[in-house]
Amino acid sequence: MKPITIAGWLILPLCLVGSAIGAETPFVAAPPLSSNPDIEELRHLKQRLNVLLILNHLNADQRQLRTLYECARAAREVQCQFLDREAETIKRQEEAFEAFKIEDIANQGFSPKTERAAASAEHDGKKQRKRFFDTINAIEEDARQTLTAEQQAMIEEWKLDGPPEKFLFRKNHPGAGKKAEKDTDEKKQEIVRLQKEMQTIFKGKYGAIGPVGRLLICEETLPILAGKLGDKEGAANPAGTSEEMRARIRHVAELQADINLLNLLNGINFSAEQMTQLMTLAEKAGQMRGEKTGAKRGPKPETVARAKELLTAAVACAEQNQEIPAKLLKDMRDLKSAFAGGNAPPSGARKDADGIQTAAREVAGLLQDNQRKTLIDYNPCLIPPKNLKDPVRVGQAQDANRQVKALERVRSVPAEKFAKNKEMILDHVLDGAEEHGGAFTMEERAAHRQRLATMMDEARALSDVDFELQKEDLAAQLMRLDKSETLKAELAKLVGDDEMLKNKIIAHLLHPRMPPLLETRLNQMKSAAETDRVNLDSIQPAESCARGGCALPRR
Amino acid sequence: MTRIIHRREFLRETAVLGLGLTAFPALKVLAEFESSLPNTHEVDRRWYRTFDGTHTQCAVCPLNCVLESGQTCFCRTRRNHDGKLLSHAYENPCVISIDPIEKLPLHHCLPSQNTLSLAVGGCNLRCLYCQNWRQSQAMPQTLKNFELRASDVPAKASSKQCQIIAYTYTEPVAFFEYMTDIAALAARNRVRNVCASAMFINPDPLRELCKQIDAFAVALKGFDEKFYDRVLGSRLAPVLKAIETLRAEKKWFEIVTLIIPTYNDDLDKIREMCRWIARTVGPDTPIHFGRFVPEHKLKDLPRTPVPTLERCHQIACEEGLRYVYIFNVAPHEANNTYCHACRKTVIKRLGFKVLENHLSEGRCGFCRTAIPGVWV
Repeated sequence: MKPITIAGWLILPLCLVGSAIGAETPFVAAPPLSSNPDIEELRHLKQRLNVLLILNHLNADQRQLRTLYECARAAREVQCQFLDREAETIKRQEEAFEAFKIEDIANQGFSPKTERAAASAEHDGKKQRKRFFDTINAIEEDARQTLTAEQQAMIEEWKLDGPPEKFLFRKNHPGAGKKAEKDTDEKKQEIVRLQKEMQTIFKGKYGAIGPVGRLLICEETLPILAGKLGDKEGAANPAGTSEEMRARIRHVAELQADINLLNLLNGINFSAEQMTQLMTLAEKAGQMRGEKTGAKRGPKPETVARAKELLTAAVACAEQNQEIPAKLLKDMRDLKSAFAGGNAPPSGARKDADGIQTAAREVAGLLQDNQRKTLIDYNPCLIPPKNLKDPVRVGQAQDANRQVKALERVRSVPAEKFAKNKEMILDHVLDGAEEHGGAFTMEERAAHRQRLATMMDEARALSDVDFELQKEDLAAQLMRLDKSETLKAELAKLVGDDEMLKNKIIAHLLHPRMPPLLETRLNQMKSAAETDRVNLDSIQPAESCARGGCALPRR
Repeated sequence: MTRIIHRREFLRETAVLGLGLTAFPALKVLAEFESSLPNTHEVDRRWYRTFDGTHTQCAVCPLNCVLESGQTCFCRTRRNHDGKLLSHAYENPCVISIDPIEKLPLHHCLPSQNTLSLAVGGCNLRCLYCQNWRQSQAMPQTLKNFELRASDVPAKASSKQCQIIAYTYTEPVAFFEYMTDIAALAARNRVRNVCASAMFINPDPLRELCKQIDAFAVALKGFDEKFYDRVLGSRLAPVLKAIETLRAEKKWFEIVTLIIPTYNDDLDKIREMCRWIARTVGPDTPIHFGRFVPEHKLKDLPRTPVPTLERCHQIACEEGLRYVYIFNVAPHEANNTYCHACRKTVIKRLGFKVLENHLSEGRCGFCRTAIPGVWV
């Protein structure tokens, strides 16, 4: 794993916060959203500078520029259609998640209607984005055809919202990624490998846009390319999302974050005392992050004004395809924090990061062993898993899970039909596993196929009683087909419980949105007035011998 | 007077008659099939009597059902067949699974061991909130059952590394004959037997049961006759009597009470119950308070608030009970077992899962105080 620098320590909690909020909502079409118009303007300037710099560095000829322009136009069209649909979905998500959050706060389980609405809104959003990503990827492929390998590599290094100085001073700043490659610690390398593999699976499942695609859909790309090619119509093409839509997106992200935290709170069962102490610590951590009020610590207005001035000058140079003067570069370096859009490490940040680590240790001390275990196993979610939502209760005859039901279906197929369709069934199961948990290599698929075939034969050969007694083990074997689950388990093992616990405390329990939720929960506990006892005489009585139900009627 | 029948009326009446004539042989076949179910088994003569030639009276549970030929007991499992009481529950399990013993719940009996759990359809109670009502409120012959002979159960348990057989999920009193036969065979094969029951059973069959069962999870569902009558269709007094019998027979048992909001969460009653337990059966009897989740006919109720359960826990401790637990809420500190002498955590649990066990030879691993239970 790459060593964490000072900035890394600072950004870590913010990244975790971000990942918790937006883990399931990669809003590529509308990246970093700020309610601060100055910051938004800076972002636009930064993007413009970045696009200009990369296009200048590409040294693309007219033919290449024309192709890129056509692709960017096509991408913009797709993006506009997507944003229209996305607006509908976001609206639906907002409504569904609001209702879901209310039930989550009540902690009385979810009504099927609310749960279905939330799950479907989330699923539709993911599906829509995946479709959008796939279409953009196809356009990206066309754009790549026109670019040379060096040009593509150049774009790959480019980051849409990265600070422009990273690109400007590229030679002096090799980046943390290269350092990580030099890392000799095998364990860390293994963790990085697993994380990358997980990312690949995640990208395959939910879709992702490549670097050229990101350049094509960037708000600034089309006008710049149109300007370079003298197409006034294209240059005037408006882009981006409305402020109302941005506000909705932010709201949905906040709702998701709240729901995620509520799911955890409902599953971890804090006592009132634990909640009070946790609230204090989370508030302290929030203050350290400057996020107590929900607003990130932004740069001073004069810094923003200066940054705007410098960026405008830099953009003007880049538009003329001129080198940026050394003095301007120096000034830009001095205003690094402003370029980072208000998220750059302020002075004393290291101390704050240490403070958050200390708070995390204190929180760990508050937890019971079984709560620690629950937290370690917890994954951010919208619809909580069964073990949190409705765990198997004492004395409850368990319902079959999905895997067991699948096995039951396999057992119910007549022998002749099974022999005929076995290969198809195997393919179907493996395709499903790949779709859900990431693609297998040829060898992996062959091995899984063999194992699955044996397991299916075994399941079919078992008597009903033996199947009942073995179905959980067989289902666990089926679960092992899910590559992402296997990777997650491996990663957890490598990272270790202590580190995992610390990370999860920082990401969830010390989340800036946690204190208000804890406060609500505490008030809920305090105000839980004792309800009137039911009048037993008034209820529909149970069937009883005393009421003549003793012997059932003759049949 | 001549009755005029309209065509439509004629057709309807003919159809009804036709259907009746067709259905009659089918019903007859069904009745014959039912009475000749391969797994019916005659109830032990000790547990029923025949009188007036074809009448029977069951003596397994305090309902003492009197049946004419063809009638079925309140529990839906025993039927009078021409003066013979037959059990349809015998060798007709509808649930077979492997579970941790903590799921019964038994926290002081062979922790973290797996049990082979069995259940048969039918129950002699009518709890409005039963979570397994699909099985318990059905006749065994109407459910999907498994072929599992009593003689095969101990071997099956051993082959699955289960050294315990648990009779649970539905009311084992309703499949008393099957349970006692398995338990006797299991005891001979050094396989333990545990039973989760509401203990609505007559003293004699209970004494018989005590010979084979190693530990009981007794569902004392409330401490109010009216609650038992209106919500469970049962009576409290025989249950208390059964608990006293268990005590007299020196059997290990743990008391389980599901707290249902507004129905049995009266803290005064809880205190009364805990006091009775502490005085009658002793402070070492573990008690488990559980969170209710809406089920069956009480779906409109909320889940039990955790603070209510914590209050019950506190009351039980105040009344001198040494081992008080909370279930259906995990993680919770009251999932753990604490030594009553040094207050250290001897068994750490997360729901049914044992995370750490500091017991050695039935003693606290920290202060060596003996912890009551079945440990070896």
